[in-house]
Amino acid sequence: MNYKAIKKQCHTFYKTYPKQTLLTIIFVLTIIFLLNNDFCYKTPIGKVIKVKTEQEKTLTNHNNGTFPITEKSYLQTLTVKLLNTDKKGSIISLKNSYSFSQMDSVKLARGDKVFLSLGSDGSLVSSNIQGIKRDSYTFILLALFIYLILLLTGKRGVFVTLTTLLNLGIFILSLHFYSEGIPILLLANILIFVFPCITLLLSNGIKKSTFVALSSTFLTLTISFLLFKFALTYGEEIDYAALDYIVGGHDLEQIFFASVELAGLGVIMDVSVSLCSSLYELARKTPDIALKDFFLSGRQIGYDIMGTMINVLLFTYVCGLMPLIILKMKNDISLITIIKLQIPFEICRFLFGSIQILLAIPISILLSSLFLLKRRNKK
Amino acid sequence: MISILALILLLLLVLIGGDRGVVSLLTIIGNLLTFFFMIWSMSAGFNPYLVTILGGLLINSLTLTYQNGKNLKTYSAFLSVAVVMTLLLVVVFLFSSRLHLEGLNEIELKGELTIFYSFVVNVDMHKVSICLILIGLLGAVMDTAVSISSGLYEIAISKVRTQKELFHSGMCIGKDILSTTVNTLFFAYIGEALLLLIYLQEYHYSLFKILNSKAFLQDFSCITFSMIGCLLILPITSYFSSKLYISKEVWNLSKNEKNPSHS
Repeated sequence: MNYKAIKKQCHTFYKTYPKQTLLTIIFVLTIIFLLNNDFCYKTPIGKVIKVKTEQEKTLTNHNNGTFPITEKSYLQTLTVKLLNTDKKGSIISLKNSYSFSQMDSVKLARGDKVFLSLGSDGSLVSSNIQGIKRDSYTFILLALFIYLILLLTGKRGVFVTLTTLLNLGIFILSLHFYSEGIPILLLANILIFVFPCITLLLSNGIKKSTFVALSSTFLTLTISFLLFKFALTYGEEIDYAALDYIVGGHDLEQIFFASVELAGLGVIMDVSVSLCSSLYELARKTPDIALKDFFLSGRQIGYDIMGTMINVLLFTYVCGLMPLIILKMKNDISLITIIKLQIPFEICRFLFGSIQILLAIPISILLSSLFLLKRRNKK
Repeated sequence: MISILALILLLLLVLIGGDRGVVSLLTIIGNLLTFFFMIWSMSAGFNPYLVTILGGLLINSLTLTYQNGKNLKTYSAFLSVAVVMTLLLVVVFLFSSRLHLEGLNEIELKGELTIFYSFVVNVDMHKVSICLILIGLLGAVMDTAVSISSGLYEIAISKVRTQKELFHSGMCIGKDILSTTVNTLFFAYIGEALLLLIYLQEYHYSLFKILNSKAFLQDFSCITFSMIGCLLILPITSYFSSKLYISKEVWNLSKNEKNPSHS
């Protein structure tokens, strides 16, 4: 194919898919920018251009009962090229050690970028690796998501992205308020009122079914919190010192409660919206439907959502635990003990989220039948 | 506390879910057992990729066939989940080799863990970090796939259409589900990350430090990949479902099948 034919084909492609082509070009440009954003930093950044790895020694883990575990550790000699600051372009040599499992160390490869700290005299000779530069790939990941959502779902995708960004902004703002001294529980209580309003109204529009879904969300939230309080008061104590990230010693219980409140919002909204919209459609298409059939249809839809929704929660919460569980198992703690004692918060979140899903089903059906069928009964 | 919550959940599952609730419960237990068995085999030294692929297939078939029965809908959902997982295995691998999210993060290393445990575990945590992202997105991807394939099925049996029309309807259903799925994942994420973000704020991490921090990215990448998975599955399930539902032989077969009456 000659040059002209290719050009013509490109042109027809652009004519058929103008938006998609533009979007792809923007996406590619963004990636190119993100991969070369080193000039934005004042901290020296180096790129690994050559790696020489040699085995250093063998490490042993004596915690594992009678069978000690061994693994090899390695020493890397890296050739690093500086990408920014006034010493840009200079090449230095650094050392990095890692062990086979990479539990607390990192194996660097050619092309990785690292933050450097210069020696006390400001020279390059005694510089150290401070950390890995990850932000380019963080943003590329985000860009990939936004690119895909716009490409695949068009206008709807814009709405979803904007809603999510708005929610994120509000969340970050409220974190700021928290640092100013406003109690976290109060903030969480405001947030669980604000988030559903914004999300549902923006993504579903101002419709009757949206308001039914909203009220069902709030009712489910209230009832589930009452249940949670009940479990909290009458259940056995939980050791909050085992939480993943502990800040000082204050209000750990409140922070955990707030995190549980927020985590369940998404699923409740999901169930409520699915049920209310479907039931609304049903009530619109068959206005003379009997109350019993209406209930049964709702229950059928609820059954279909229930199982897979609980699975979403299960895998989302449980997957992050893998490294810690492996670490503990290799330190002679049995899997049963870990499940029983060491991961109470993830289990709590999962159980509570599932309870919320289940509660949302009858509540949505009940409210839908009250509000969506009412008008017909009056006639 | 956990026992009371578990009791409430059990009660609700039986009360609200009935027979289907018991089925769901068994599926969840089966999935959990599979998950813990996967962790066990990884720490026993089996290749994490192999364990993930086999475990993923097991979870996938367990959830889909057991919960929704053996039919065309399940088949198409299963197929598309498998395709998306394979596709994402490559994407996640590419990202992970640069993001370096393996092992424990800097905050966990600072904590009391360092005192008690030895980090010599002889398991390649880099591979584990890729696998945990893939397992994490399994739930959300399956959910979306099932919704689209059963929604399309209802459309297909009500009126036979062309494959192109069916594909288009599938994408429309997908768009409707998408916003709620994104929200589910988003709120699950901020609930989980609340503690971490408070921690980061308390220690005055700058924005760029957060964006480069392993602790932040371990959760963040997990949830973003789940969302990307949910996006990728839209066209793939629509394609497989429309192709399967429209092909004549299968179509006749499925028509003779007993289908649960739809509302």
